[in-house]
Amino acid sequence: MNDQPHTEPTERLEPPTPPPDDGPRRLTRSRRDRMVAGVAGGLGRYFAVDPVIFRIGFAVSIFFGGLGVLAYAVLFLFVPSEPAEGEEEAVAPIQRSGWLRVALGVVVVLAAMSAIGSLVFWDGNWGDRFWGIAWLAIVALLAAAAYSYLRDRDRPVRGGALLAAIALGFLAAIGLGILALASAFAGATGSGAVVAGVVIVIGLMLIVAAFRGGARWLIAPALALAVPLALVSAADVSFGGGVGQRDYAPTSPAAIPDDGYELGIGRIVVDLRGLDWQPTSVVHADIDLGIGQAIVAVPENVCVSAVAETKAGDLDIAGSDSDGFDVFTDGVGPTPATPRLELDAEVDVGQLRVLNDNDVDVEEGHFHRGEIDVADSAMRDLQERACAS
Amino acid sequence: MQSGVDRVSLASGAALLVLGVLLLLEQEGTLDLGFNLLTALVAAALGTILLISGLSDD
Repeated sequence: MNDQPHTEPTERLEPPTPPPDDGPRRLTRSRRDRMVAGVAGGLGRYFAVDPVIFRIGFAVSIFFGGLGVLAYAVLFLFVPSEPAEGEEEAVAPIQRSGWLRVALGVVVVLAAMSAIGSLVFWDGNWGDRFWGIAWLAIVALLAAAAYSYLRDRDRPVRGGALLAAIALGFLAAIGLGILALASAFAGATGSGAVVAGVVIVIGLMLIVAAFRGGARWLIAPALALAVPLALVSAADVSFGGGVGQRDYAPTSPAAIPDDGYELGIGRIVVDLRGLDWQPTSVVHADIDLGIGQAIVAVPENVCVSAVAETKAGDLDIAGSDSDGFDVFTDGVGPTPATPRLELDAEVDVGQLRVLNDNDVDVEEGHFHRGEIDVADSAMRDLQERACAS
Repeated sequence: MQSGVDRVSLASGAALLVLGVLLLLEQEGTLDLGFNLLTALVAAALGTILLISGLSDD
């Protein structure tokens, strides 16, 4: 024991720094006890429980809807890793990177577009709404990009720099949009293999460039090529028949082309109500549409026997509606009822509507003119009656 | 992994390479992945690239 009085100068007698464990306990991901991202290790330390228990819980959750995996991902994003040696404060990944915010923003915007689009896309007047949502998404992405670009700058944000960033983003979006359209067009016209080859080459270039400093600027154009091609391939879209609006109103069965009606993108209307229907008439019609809406109109006394399919969209045949992905319907199936329309339709992405109503105005459904308003229940009743005859 | 490697470029390149090969096989008719699987693969590739980009420190 030292009996000498304390002789340290008073100016050095600062209040002691509170030990770290005096503050609220902080959940961090473990650096030393980690198998993936240290989430289970951090939880184990926080709750004073063996981390293996959490690991087993996360693993088992995979077989119950994957909720644990989602929870793990959220914890990974929002819980910081414990500070490394010499590091003052741990920062969660979501705070560390502006790009992550942009990435999450993109995902959220796309999810929102998907959700909203599924609600409003096919109710007739989808053109306005789709582009409205698309523009909203573009503006959101440009704002996110501009924010990300300017966020970490020391100097205050200037209007000129912001405008320049937005203009650059806008030009980039236009360029990528052109690439995407070209890719989709190539995929739908049988030249998709070339685009796939370009994507492979860019992938290889990125891998090689990764060891020489990277070439991240290649990622966006590669995605602009790959994603539309994949979607067009997935939907098996064919652009044969052109683009636009097609209206047909044959007056005799002979006027219906043997190889059917075909359109790549747009709206096709086949109005068969002016046809010379006899009590024993059996008329066959084929429709092949890539992307868009197909309308077929028949008189109320005609039984519609339709074999129709869509990769993604809506089949509404004489009041019987079904939608989703890979939708197929064989309508009423083989029937001897006459007069009868035997329809063979394929709409890759979009909607097929068969209207058995004498008075419906098929022009109503044109872009910007609103939805064709016909009661499904009434059409179903008419169809039942026609097919029972 | 060595420190000089740009992980974003590497992961993106790998994801695009796999996606490109699958698309080529699909276009050539060797594979028929179907709508659900192909769109899921696209989402997986996009998600991988976005996450790697977002989580990158630099």
